Formats: sequence, C-alpha cells, structure tokens
Amino acid sequence: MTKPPKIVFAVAGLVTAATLITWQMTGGDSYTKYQVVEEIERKLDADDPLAGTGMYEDDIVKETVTRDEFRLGLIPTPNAFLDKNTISVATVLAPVWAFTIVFWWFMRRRE
Amino acid sequence: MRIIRTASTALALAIMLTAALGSLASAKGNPCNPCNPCKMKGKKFMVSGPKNTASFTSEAPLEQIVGISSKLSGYIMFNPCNPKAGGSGMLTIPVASLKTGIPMRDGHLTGADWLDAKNHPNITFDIKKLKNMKEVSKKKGSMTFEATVVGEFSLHGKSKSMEVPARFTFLKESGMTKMQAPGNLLVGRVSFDVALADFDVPSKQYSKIIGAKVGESVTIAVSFYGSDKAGGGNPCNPCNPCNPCNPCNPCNPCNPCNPCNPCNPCGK
Repeated sequence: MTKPPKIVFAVAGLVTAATLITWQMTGGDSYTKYQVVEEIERKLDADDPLAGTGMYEDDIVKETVTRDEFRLGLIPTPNAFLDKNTISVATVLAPVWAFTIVFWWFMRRRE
Repeated sequence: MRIIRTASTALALAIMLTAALGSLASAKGNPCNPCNPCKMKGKKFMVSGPKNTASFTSEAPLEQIVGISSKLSGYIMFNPCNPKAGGSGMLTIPVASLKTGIPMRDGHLTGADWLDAKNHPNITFDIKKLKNMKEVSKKKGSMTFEATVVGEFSLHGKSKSMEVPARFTFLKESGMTKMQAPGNLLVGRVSFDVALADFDVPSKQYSKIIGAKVGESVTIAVSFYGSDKAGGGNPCNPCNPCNPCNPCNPCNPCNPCNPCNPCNPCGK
C-alpha cells in the first residue's frame, strides 16, 4: 500500500477511536440525545418534610428526572436533515470509512 | 302567683333557648345546606406545579424507553380527620407534555399512530374511591396510608376500570411544608401497569413493532402533592372562591354581577 492510503486509513482509525471513546464516555446509549430522562434513586434529605413519614421505604426515593446532557448514540434521531440529533457514531463513521475505502480502491486502481 | 309567673317565664325561656340551639345544630347538620360541614366529604387538595409528575417506562431491545410529564394536575378529595372514609379525585396529564428526551420519538409518541394528542389531548385517571385504607405511620404532623385506588384510567379515547395500590402521606402545615407549598399537603405515589393493546395503541400499521421494539405493557408511576390552600380547601369556607355560597363567586346566581342574573347592574 502506498503512503497516501496508509495516511487515510490511519486518520480513519483515529476518528473511529475518538468516536467510540466519546460514545462510551457519554453513556454508551443507542440513540443520540441532548436531554436525558431516566429513573434514579436518591436518599431523602433529613429536612425533607417526608423524611421519616414512611412514605418511602428506608427514605429512598425512586423518581424519574430530566436533565440536559449530551449523549452520543450509535444511531441518529434527527427531526430534520441538519438536526443536531443527526450526529451519531453511525453518521460519523459511515462517511469516513466510505471515503477511506473509495480512496484506497481508487489508489489501487491507479497502481 | 309571682312564683308561677317566674317559673313559666323561665320555662318559656328554656324552651326558646332549646329551640334556638336545636335549630343551630340542625342548620349545621342540615344535609340540604350547601355549606353543611357535615356533608363535606373532606378537603380538596389541588394538584398543580412542576413537582407533580407522571412517568412511564417501557422495555425495548435497544434501550429502555422512559418518559415523563411535569404537567400533572387535578385534585384529590380526602378527609384527614376521617381517612378511613376514603376519597376521590381526578388527575390529568396533557399527552403533548410527555417527553422521552428524543424529540423525534416525542413526535411519534404524540402522533396519530400512537397516543394521538390532537384527538385525545389528555390522559386521565378518574378516582372514584379509595378503599382498604391502612395506616402505615403516624407521627406528629404527618400520617401515612396505604390504599387501593379505584377508578377509571382513560388513554387514547378508551377507558378502563382499574384498582391500583397507592401510598399517601398527609402533612400538616409547618415551616418545612411551606417551602413546598402553602397549606396542608397530601403527597401521593401510585404505580401500575397498562397494556397498550387495551387502549388501541399503537395503530394497526405499527402493531407489529409491539413486543419487538416497544414493550406490550408500560409501567406508569405518578407522584404528586396537593395543597388544600392552592384554590382548594374547605368548600364550605365562606371566603373560598369556589364556595357557591360565596357572594363574590361569579357563579352565584345572587351575585349582582353574574351575567346570568337578569337584574345584573353591570349590564353584561
């Protein structure tokens, strides 16, 4: 393999590694999201009026919360073509590797 | 003669006094009196504010779907002086307020093929009664009960009778409760499962994905706190704007400014 394809493959590899690391560090979710809705457990504060009333067993509250948090997902969830939810592992890596393979094939033909 | 006159006067006074007290008692206990506190079925605890939430959870192959609405509203009728008497109420969630964190999914959820927010804008739970009330804990300023909520759950234009377990805590007004809301508070938690097929969700076009991409049933959890001062309170309180006896109540036919009053001096 000549030098240019090697460089392109190396760049594609770096982009893949960076994308997968970002995906894992932001939660490893299946879908890209900028707002997270999830169930959490927390302990009731001592100064909460419900503390010690028996409303929650062992004063552990299970509740569903919403917070603004970016999570890169495997699959995009766009509402429009250039929606911020378009970004995902698949939409980043697919064009990178498509270009890499086409470039390598093109260079190979030239040889 | 003088003694007889004095005795008869005293007897007459006693009879009048007894009659007066009796009429007072009967007025208080008169079931026909709309202000009769004995007829009152408890206090009305109004549920409103972003801390009142309803959430749902559905299992799916790629990831669990969790949704939430912070627009839960309604009321609960409950008598803290006689909790065994049970209660009633109505809780409502606008379908359009459900959020799952993904706008595209929210759009599908509220769309015509799923919950159809346009034609069925609200999800409601009409609480007919609370039964099997069991005291779990009683402390100074609070009482906690377990109960079975009996009512009708309505979703996507369909209704189904349900009996679901719940837990309630009545909190007497204190410095700590005032940080949440004024007045006495009634805090509640209800959790139950709903089979989507019972409510014709989703449309036939998407029915094949049930089980494959979305669970056949969803778990709904409702968490609310109602205040008896937030527009609720004692319906017999003459100052309560909802009291039909309140002369300032716009619905009071005797209210001179009531547009339905033919003698309305306001001319409206």
